[in-house]
This record gives sequence, structure tokens and C-alpha cells, in this order.
Amino acid sequence: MFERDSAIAQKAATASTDLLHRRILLDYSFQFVLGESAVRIETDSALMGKALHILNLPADLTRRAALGKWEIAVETYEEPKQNLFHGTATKLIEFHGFGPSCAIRMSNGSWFARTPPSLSGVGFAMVGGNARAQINQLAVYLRAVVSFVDERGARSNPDLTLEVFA
Amino acid sequence: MIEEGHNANAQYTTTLGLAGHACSLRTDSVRLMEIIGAFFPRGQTLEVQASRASMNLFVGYRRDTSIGRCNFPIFRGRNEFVHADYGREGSLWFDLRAREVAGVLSDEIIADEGYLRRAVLTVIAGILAPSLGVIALHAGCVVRDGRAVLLSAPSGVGKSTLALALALRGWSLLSDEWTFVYDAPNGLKLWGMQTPIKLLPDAISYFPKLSALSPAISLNGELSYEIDPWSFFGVDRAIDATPFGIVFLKRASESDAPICHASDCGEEETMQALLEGIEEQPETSAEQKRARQALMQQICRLPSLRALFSGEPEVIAADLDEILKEQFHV
Repeated sequence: MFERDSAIAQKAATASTDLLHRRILLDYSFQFVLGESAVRIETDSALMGKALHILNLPADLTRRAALGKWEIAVETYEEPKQNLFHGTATKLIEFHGFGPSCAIRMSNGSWFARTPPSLSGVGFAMVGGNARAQINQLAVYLRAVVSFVDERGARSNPDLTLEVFA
Repeated sequence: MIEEGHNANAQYTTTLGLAGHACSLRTDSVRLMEIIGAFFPRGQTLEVQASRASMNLFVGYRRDTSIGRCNFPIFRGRNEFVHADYGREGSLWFDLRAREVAGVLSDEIIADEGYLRRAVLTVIAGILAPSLGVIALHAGCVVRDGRAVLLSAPSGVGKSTLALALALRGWSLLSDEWTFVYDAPNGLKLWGMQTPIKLLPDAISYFPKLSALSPAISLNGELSYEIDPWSFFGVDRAIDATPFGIVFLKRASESDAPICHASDCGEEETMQALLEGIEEQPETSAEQKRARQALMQQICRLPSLRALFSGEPEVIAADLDEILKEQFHV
């Protein structure tokens, strides 16, 4: 399940430029089971695998085609002050609806967007501190994304406070 | 737990014009509707009448964070999604495939009209435009009798200064830095936004009227004068126009006498020069990519000149004025 896809690095050379001149190569991929579907995370951080492990999300060992693809870029900052969005640790998550799509934004600036009913989406996770701290932050982020994508979970999860803009 | 307190109650709706395309606006703030309506005027007719883009903007939200307002939003985007994060003051969310933008903004941002124009509305135009098939060119634009000339150059060469100098000679100013190009039913059209012109401190020697102001640190950290050229200098504003030619500006090395030499530019050279000045955007579809390429080819078929210049803007503008009349019949 945890693999580095060297073929992706090859493709990156001809990949389209991400917005605002940033080429983000997502050359790590992890596939897990969400409900009855397989979801594949493509990311630029190997720590994502450890974060998935914390969440106890079962690995998809069948290697079937994933129904959802999450493209998540991870950005790290050295000190809290360097994170423009450093705020108090809250569980408040904003839910935004825009046209057919929706997104969540966390208090540290991390976000994830998708167009239901697709299970796929894109996101940016902001993490800081040492490796252990980053893994924990990624786990918090992934937990929020899982609840967001699995819509039944989003509104029933007592640990999430959603502020809705739609 | 879900807090529904910020659910939007959009009482105000209107139709805007964004580079010849109709865009619907839904908001809960009459002040925001007025400012946005003035920034994206419908004009007398819209080339494409059916709404092709949507804006849903709501006011009154402020995040609980110790960090103050950012000078400029933090952008992150991938595929069709873009997020412009204003920290404490709110967010804009774009779905470029659906041509939608939605946002929540604080009262403070709305109260600062200059910031709202520079850092919010220009962002909306710049990010939405490609999804409408509009190309943003890094070029100023001046207009005479509805006929427009694009002034293309990298930053720092002096296109803003020259555009202003031409405007002071009677041209209408459509833009000093970014000009939007789109394919209208009756041919290519240009469109510009009412954004401040940025002049470096030494511009005071060419435009003494600037002495009434003090330069300040702009959004990108540069010390400069940022002014509304239309109200401050009293020059005429053009919102849209038909392009008749492109001038690629290049500074000559310093010489004793002011010079302005112009020579023809071929289609291939025009394409190369324009590509360097185009805002890079991800295509969300193959169709969009094809449309963009077709539009670029149309732009490159415009008559174009290379202009090598050195000297004071007022003198160069006078020479350039004559050249444009002769070469482009404007």
C-alpha cells in the first residue's frame, strides 16, 4: 500500500503547471479503504503513510482501481510564526459551498475541496514542528477530510465543529 | 456540532461584465454590490448575454486568529480548485470548471475599498478569466477613438509610465499593466480593470503633480506611488476597445538624446514575446487549451512593432504617438 511511484517522477517533467507557477510533484501514493471504496492518496510527503496508520484506515491490498483520488500537497513551516495562519488549536472547521463544489478549511489554513458525488478531491495540508508533530497534524487533517468526504460522518462526528457557508 | 449562523442570506443580485462575459453576482451586502458593480461594469451591451460565471460573496465574517491581515492573499490551487486565503479576513474559493467563485469576507476588507479592488476584485478577475476563454496579457493599453494599442514589456521597462504619458497626450487609458483579451462575435476585444497605477519614486521628476503625495510600500513590498490615474491625473478611461496593434517596448542603453526607434515584428516573434508575458494558468480541459491557443494565434496576427527607446516619458510619448498614427492608423 505504501509505495513511491517512480513513474510519477517521470511524468512530472511534462506535467501541467499548477496554479501560480508551482509545480508540485506528488510522487508518493497510498491506497486505503473508505467504506466500500478504495481511495488513493497522491502526495509529496512520505509521512502521510504514517498518518494513515494512526487513523487505522485499512490498507487496500487488492490494488483495485480506486474510486477516489485525493491529491494532497503538504507544506511545512519551521516555527509557528512562519505559518501565516497559526491560530489557537481549535476543532472549528469551515465548510464552504461554491457552485457544485464544496471545501473544508481548518484553522491552520489546511483545506480540501471536491465536487460531490465524486470521492476525489484536492487539498493542501500545512504542518510544522518535528516529524512526530507533523504526522499527528496530518492525521488530524486526514480525519477531517475522511469525515468530509464520507458525508454521513461529517455531520455526526461530535469532534468536529463545522461552520457552514453555502 | 454544526453552527449555521453564517449561512448566507443573499438579498442582492445583479449581472456584471467581466471581459465581455456576463457574470451573475449574489451578495448580502449592498455596499459590496455597488463596489463590485462599478469595478465590473456591464457596459452598454455584453458580447455574451447568458451568464457564464457566478460570484457569491458574503460579508461579516472574521476568523479567530492572532494574525492580522495579510498584504496579499495566500494562493493554493490544483486542477480546477483555487483557494485565496486572506487569513483573518476571509477566503475566496474558485471552481474553474463551473466558473464559480464564492467567498466570505470581513467587514474590514469591505471598508477598505482600495484593498478590496487591489487584492480581491483583481484576483477574482485574474483567476476566473481563463475559464471564460479570456487571456490576461502583461501589457498596458491605450485607446483612441475605440482603437487600442497594446504596450508590452517586462516589469520595470516603463510601460506604466509610457501609458500614462500617452494618456496625458489625449489617449484613453484602458490599463497600465494587465489587459484582458477575448474573442467577441465581431472580433478580438480588449478589457481593462479600474486598478491603481504604480509609479516608482523617480516618476516624480516626470509627473510633478506626484509631489502632492508620498510614496508608500505597495503590496509587493516596493516603495511606489499607487494612484487612480483617472481621477488623479484626469485622464480618460476606456473599459473596452478593439485592438489595432502591439508595441513591444525595450529600453535602449542610455544615450545623450532621447530616441524612439520602431521596427516591424513578425508573427513568430510576437508569439514568443507575448508568451513570456502571459499569466500561466492550468487548463481544466483540452477544449480550453485549444481555445486558448486559437486566441493566441489571433492576437499574434495583429500588426506589431518593436520600439527601442530612451529618454523622458513625455518626449518618448510624443514620438510614439506619431509612430502609432503612421503604423497603426490610430
